[in-house]
Amino acid sequence: MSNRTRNATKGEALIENCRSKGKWQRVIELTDELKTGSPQNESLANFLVGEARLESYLEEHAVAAESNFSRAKSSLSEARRYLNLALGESGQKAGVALDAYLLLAKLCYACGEYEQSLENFVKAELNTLAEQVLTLRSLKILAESYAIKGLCLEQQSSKPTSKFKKAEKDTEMITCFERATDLGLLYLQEYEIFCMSNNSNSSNNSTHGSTLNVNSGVQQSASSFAISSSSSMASSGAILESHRRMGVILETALQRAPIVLIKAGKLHLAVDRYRIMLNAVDTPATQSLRLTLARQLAEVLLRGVSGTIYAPPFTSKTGGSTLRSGGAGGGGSSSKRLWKPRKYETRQQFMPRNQQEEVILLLLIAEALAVRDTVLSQSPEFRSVRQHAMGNVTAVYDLLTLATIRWGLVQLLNESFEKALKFSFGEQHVWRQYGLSLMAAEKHSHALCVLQESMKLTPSDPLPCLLASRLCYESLETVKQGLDYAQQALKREVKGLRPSRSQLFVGIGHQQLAIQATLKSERDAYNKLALESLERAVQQDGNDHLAEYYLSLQYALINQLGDALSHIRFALALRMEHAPCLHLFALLLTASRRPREALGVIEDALHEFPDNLQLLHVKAHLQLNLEDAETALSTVQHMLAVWRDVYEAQLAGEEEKHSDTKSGVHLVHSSQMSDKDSNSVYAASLAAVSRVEQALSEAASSLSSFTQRPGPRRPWMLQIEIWLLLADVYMQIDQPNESLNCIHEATQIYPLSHQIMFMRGQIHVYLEQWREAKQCFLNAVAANPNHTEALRALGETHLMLGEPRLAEKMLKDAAKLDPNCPKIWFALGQVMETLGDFNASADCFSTSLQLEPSCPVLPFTSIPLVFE
Amino acid sequence: MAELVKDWLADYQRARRQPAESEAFVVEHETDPEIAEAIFTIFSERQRNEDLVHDICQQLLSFYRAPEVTLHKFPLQFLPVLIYTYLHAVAAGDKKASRGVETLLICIYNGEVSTDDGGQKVVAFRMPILAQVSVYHELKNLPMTDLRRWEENCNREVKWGPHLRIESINAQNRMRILTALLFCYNQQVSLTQKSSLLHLCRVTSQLVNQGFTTKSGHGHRMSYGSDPATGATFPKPSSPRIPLSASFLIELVHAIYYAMFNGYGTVAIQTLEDIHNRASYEMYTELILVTNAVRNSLHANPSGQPNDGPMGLSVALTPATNTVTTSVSKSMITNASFRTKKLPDDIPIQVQDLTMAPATQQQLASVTEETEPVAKESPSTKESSGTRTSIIRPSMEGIKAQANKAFTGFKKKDKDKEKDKEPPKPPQRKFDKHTQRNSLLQLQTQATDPGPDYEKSPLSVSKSKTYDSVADTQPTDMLPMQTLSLINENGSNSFSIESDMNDGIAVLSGLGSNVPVSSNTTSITSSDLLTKSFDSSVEITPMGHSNSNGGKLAEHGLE
Repeated sequence: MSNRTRNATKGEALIENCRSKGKWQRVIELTDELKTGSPQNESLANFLVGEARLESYLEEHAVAAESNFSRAKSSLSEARRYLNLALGESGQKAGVALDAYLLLAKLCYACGEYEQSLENFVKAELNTLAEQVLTLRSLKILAESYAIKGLCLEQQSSKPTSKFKKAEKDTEMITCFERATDLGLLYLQEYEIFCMSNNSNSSNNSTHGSTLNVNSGVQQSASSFAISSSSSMASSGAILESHRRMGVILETALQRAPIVLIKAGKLHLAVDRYRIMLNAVDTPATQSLRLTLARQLAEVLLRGVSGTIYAPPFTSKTGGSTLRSGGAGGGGSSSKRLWKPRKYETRQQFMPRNQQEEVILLLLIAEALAVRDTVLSQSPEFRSVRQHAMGNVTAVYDLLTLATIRWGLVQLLNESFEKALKFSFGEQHVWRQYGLSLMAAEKHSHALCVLQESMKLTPSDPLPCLLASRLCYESLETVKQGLDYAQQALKREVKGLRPSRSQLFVGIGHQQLAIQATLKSERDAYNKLALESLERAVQQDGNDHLAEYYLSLQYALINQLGDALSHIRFALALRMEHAPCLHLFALLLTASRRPREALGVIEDALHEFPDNLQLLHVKAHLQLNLEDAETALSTVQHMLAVWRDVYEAQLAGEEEKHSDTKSGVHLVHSSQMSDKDSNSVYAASLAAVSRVEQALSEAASSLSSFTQRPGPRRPWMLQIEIWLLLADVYMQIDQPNESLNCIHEATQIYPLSHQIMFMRGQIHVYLEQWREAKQCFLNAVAANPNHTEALRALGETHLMLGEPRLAEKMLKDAAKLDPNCPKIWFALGQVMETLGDFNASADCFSTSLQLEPSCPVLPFTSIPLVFE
Repeated sequence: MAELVKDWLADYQRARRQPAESEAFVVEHETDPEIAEAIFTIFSERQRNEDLVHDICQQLLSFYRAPEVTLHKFPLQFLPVLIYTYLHAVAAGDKKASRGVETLLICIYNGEVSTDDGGQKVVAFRMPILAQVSVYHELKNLPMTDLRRWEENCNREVKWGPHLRIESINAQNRMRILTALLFCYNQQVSLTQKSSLLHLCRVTSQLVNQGFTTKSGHGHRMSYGSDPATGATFPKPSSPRIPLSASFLIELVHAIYYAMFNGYGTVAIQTLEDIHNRASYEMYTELILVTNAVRNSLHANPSGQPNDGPMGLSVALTPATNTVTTSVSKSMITNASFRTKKLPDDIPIQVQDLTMAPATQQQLASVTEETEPVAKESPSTKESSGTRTSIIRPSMEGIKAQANKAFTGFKKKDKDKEKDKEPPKPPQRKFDKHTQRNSLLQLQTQATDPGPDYEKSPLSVSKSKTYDSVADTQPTDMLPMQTLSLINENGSNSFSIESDMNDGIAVLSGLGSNVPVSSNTTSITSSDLLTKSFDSSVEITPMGHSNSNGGKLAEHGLE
C-alpha cells in the first residue's frame, strides 16, 4: 500500500490528492492521461478506474439497502471487471492488489454478497496487516474494510455450528468494529488536517478549485461584506462536506460497535467503547456522530447501569491501559499507537467520578451540539431537516429531564428550555415542559404565561388549563382568572376520562369568590354555584377525598354543620391521614360544642403530623380556651421550635427538597396577609388609600432600621403568626410585657402587618389604654378594611370611649362582612343597649345566642387551600 | 408455593444453628431462582398467607443483617412489593397487619442511610460544567453561550442525604422514607433478578391505580344522609386510593425506565402510562415533567423504542449524509448561524460628528434594513415619533454616541446598497422580500409603516444627507439599537444582519411592547439575543414563501 506512494510522480500525487478528496470524475480523467503517459502502469490505472466507478456509484446510491442489490450488481459490473484486472501479478507488482481486494470486498458488500466479501478480506489478509503510516485514502479504505467485515460477519446468514465457534465469530466481529472505529476516527482527524492545509493552498492552486473551493470562494467574496458571517458559513459548509466524506459505511460501523458489544452482553466494554470514541479529538465531521454517541452513552448509563455496577471512565484495567499509555507516550507517537485516534489530553480536565456526573456532562455536551444544529427557518422546504434537528434536541432534553429532576435541578432544565424556545415555534412538547419546569421552579407568573401558550398548542388537553387554574388559586391569588381556566378545562374534558378534577377546580374557584365577596347577594350566588359544582365533583369521582373535603368546607361556610360533618367523615374514610381534613374536622367539632373531642382529634393528628404548624395552631387555641394557658404556652413554644427546624435550613439558602412539610403549612390565609388584596377592594376610595398610607408609615416609622428578611416570605409570615399567638397567650396569663416583647419580635420581621397592629391594640385594651388602642385598631382597619376582628375591637373601643354611634357603624360593617360571628352581634347588642334601642339590642343578643353554639374556635377560612 | 417457602424458612433456621451448614445454604440460595419467585407469589396472595408473610419478613430481616453479601442484598429486590403491601395496609387503615413489613422497612431504611462505620450515608456528585474541559470535550468546539452556562455552579455538589435514622413511620415522614428506600433499590436494580422487574411493574400499576379503577364509587355510601353525630363506624371503600408523593413516584419512574429497557418493554410502558395518569390527576409538576419526557422519548424520536435493539439503541444515521444537499442548507438558518461576540463594556463617546437627522436615526433604530424608507420617512414620521418616545429614553450622552455609531453604520450601508443593485436576480421579487422583512422588523418600533416608499429606495442615498442641518434641533428619542445591513451574496438570496444591541433591556421592552409574536421573529427575539449584549450576525432566509408568518407581517408585506 505504501510503496506506491514512495515512487509517486507528480501526476500520481495529483491523483492521490483527488482520491483523498473523493473527486472521482477527475481521477478517471487523470488516469486516462496516466495510461497514455506510461502504459506499464496499466494495473494501477485499472485499479483507479475501478475504484473511481465504485465510489462514485456508492456516493449516489444508498449502500446495503436490500432493494438495491440487483441494481447495484448490474451497475457495478464494470467496476468489478476493472478491479479484477488489477488483481493479477502485475497488480501485486504495482502494489494495488491488496487495495483491490479490499475494494472488491466493499463492492460485494454493496451487492449484498456477504460471503464473497468475506472471502476477499481473507485474500487480502486483512487480519495480518501491520500498523504503519498510511495515506489518507488508504486509511479510509482500511477503516471501511474493517467496518464492512464487521457488518458482513453480523449479517452472515449461516449460523455457526458450535458455541465455541459462535464466540469466536463474535470476538472477530467485535475486533473488526473496534478497529473500524479507531481507524475511522483517525481518518477523520487526518482528513481535517488535510483539508486545512489544502484550503490554505487553494488560493495559489487554481486547478484544485472544484467542489470544496466553490463554496469557500463564495464565502470569501461574501466575507468582504459581512465579515462575521463568513466563517460560520464556511464551517457549516465544511461540516456538510465532511458528512459526505465520512460515508454511510463508516458512520454505521462507528455507531454499531458498542451496540454489538451490548448485544454480546458486554455492557462494560460497550460503555468503554463509547468513552474511547468520545475521548477522541473532535473534528467537524464527527460532530453529529459525537452528538449521537454522547446521547447513546447517556442512554446506556441511564437505562442499564444502576449505581452499584457503574465504573468511572478510564479507570478499569483494560480501558485504562489502552487510553492512558498513549498519554504516557507523549508526543513521541510510538509506533504502536499509529492506528489509534488522537485523544483529548489536557491538564485539569474534568473526569467524571460517578454516574450522575458522567450522564449530566454527556447531556450538556449533547445539548450544546444539538441546539447548535437546530433549524430556525420555518419555510416548508426545511421541514424535514427542522424536524430531524428538533427530534435530536428533544431527545436530549428528555434525557436531561430524567437525569436532573430527581436531584432537584429544575433550574438547569429551566434554562435549557428557555433557550429552546428560540427554535421551538409550535412545538407543544417543549412548551409544555417549559411551563411545567417553571411551575416546579416556583416561578409562578412566568409559568402562567407559558402555560397559556401550551393551551393554544394542545387545544384538546385539559391539563395545562388545570395547572394554570391551580397557579391562579394557589400562588397568584387571581381567583377569577383561575376559575376561567378551570371552566375551560371542564369544557375540554370531552373524553370524560376524569372530569372530576376540572369540576372540583370550578367549585374551588366559586368557593373562593364567595369567601372574598363583600356583597351578600354576590356571596350567596357564588355559594350556590360552589355547592352545585362540588356536589357534581363528588358524584363524578366518589373516591376523591379532596372533593369531599371541599364539599364539607362549603357546607361549613354556609353554616350547615350537619352536612359538613357527614362529608368530612366521608373524606376521612377515603383518606385517613390528611391534615386539612383532620383540621376541618376538629373545627367542625368545636362548632358543634364538642371541643374536648376536637382536642383529641388534633392530638391524634399531631401523632401523624408532628411538624404541622396548622394543627399546632388549632391545638394552642383550643388549649387556651379549654385548659389553662400554661399548656398553650408550651404548645406555642413547641411551634417556634418546629418553625426553626423546618424553615431555618431552607431560609439559609439550602433547598430543603425532601422536607415533609414543604409549603404544606401556611398558617396565615394569604388573602389576609397581602396588602394588595385589601387594596383592590377599596382602591377606589382615595381617603382609604391615605388612611392606609398613614397606618403603614406609622408602623414603619416605629422601627428605625427595618430590613427585609432574606428568603421567601411565607415562612416569615408564619413566624409572625406564631409570635402573635404567643402574645395572645401571654395576655391570658396576665403578662402584658411579655406580650409586648412578642409583638416587638413580630414587628422586626414585617412591621406592616395589620394583624400586628390589631394585636398591639388588644394589649392596649388589656391595659385599658383606650385611646392608644383605638389608634391601633384604626391602623389595622386601614391596612385591611376586611379584617372583622379589628372592626369589632374598634367598635368595642368606641363604646368604651363613649362614642356609641361610631361603635354602631363599625360593628354593623363587621356584621355585614361576617354575619356568623356571635361576638360581633353581642357587641352590637351592647351598643344598641347604650343607645337605648332595646328592641334592636334584644334582637342582636338573641342572634348572638343562636350563633354561639355553631361558632368554631377559629374561622373555617383559616384552613389554607389544599390541592393534594 | 407455600411449601417451597416453608422449606426455605426451615432450612435457614437449621442453617443458623449449625454454622457449617450456613455456608452451603448461602451457596444454594444464590443459585436458586425459584425462591424469590415463590416469595413474590406469597406477597401477591398475602390475604391467604398472613402468617407466612410475617415469617418471611422476619427471615428477610435476618438476611439483611447477615454478613454474607448475597444474603444481605437479597431482601432489596422485594422493596417495591414490600412498600406496596405496607401502603395498601396503611391506606386500608389496617396498620396492625402490616407491623412486620413496617419493621422490615424501617430496618432496611436505617441500614441504607448509614455507612458501614455508622455514619450517615451521602450520595453526592459534582455538577459538571462545560466551561471546564473534560475528557469528552474541549472548549473550542462548543458555542460560547453554552460554555458560559451554569458557570457559577462550578464544583457545586448535589447531594442525596444525609438522612436521619428513624424510629417509627408516621404520615409525615412516610413518603420520604419510602422514597429513600426506592432510591436505594434503584441503585441496586441491575443486580436483581430480571424477573423481579416484572413484579415491580405490576406492583407499581397497583400502587397508582388502586381506587381509580372502579368508575362508580358509591357502593360504600350506605349511610349517606344518616345522622353523622352518632359516630357510627363508616363502611370503608374496598380499596382506597394510596397517597403517594411526587418524588416517590419519580424514583418509581426510574425503576420502570430500567425495566423498560431490560426485557419488559410492553409492561413497563403500560405502567408508565398509569403513573402518568396519576401524575396528571394529582398535578405533580415535577413528575409530569419526567413522565412526559419518557413518553415523548418513546414516541417518534431517535432515542429508539425499547424493542429496537439492546436498550433501545439503534444506529441513527445523519440524514445529511443522504438527503440534504449543500445548497439547501446554505440558506437555512440554524442556531449555528448566530455567533456571539462580546462588546466592549462601554462605548467610546465621540462628539465631533453629530450630524444625523433624527428621522434617519429612528430609521436605523427601528431595525429596518436598508435605507429605502428614509426618503419619505422623515417628514411623515415627525408626528408619529411622539408616540414612540415612551419606549426608551436613554441619556443624552448615550444618544450622542449611538447616533454617531449609527451614522457611520449608515454610511457603510449605502455602500453596500450599491452592490445590492447589481445582482442579476429579478429585482421585483427581491424587493417583495425586503418589504416583508422590513415590515416585520419595523413593527418593533413603528406602527405606521410607509410601505409604498420602498420603490424609491435608491434615491435615499443622496437624500439622507439633507437632514444634517436639523440634527441638533430635533430631539432624538430613540436608541439606535440595531443597525442592519442587507447583503446579497452573489444572488444566493441570503441576507446578513449585523445587529448591534447595546442595551439588552431597552430592546427587551421595545420588543415586548410592539412586536407581534410571530414565528419568524424567533431569530431576532430569541432570548439569547435579548439578554446578552453582543454583535450577532445572522443569515436570514428570505421569508417570502413562508405562510406561517404572523398575521401582521403578511398585512404589512402586502401594503
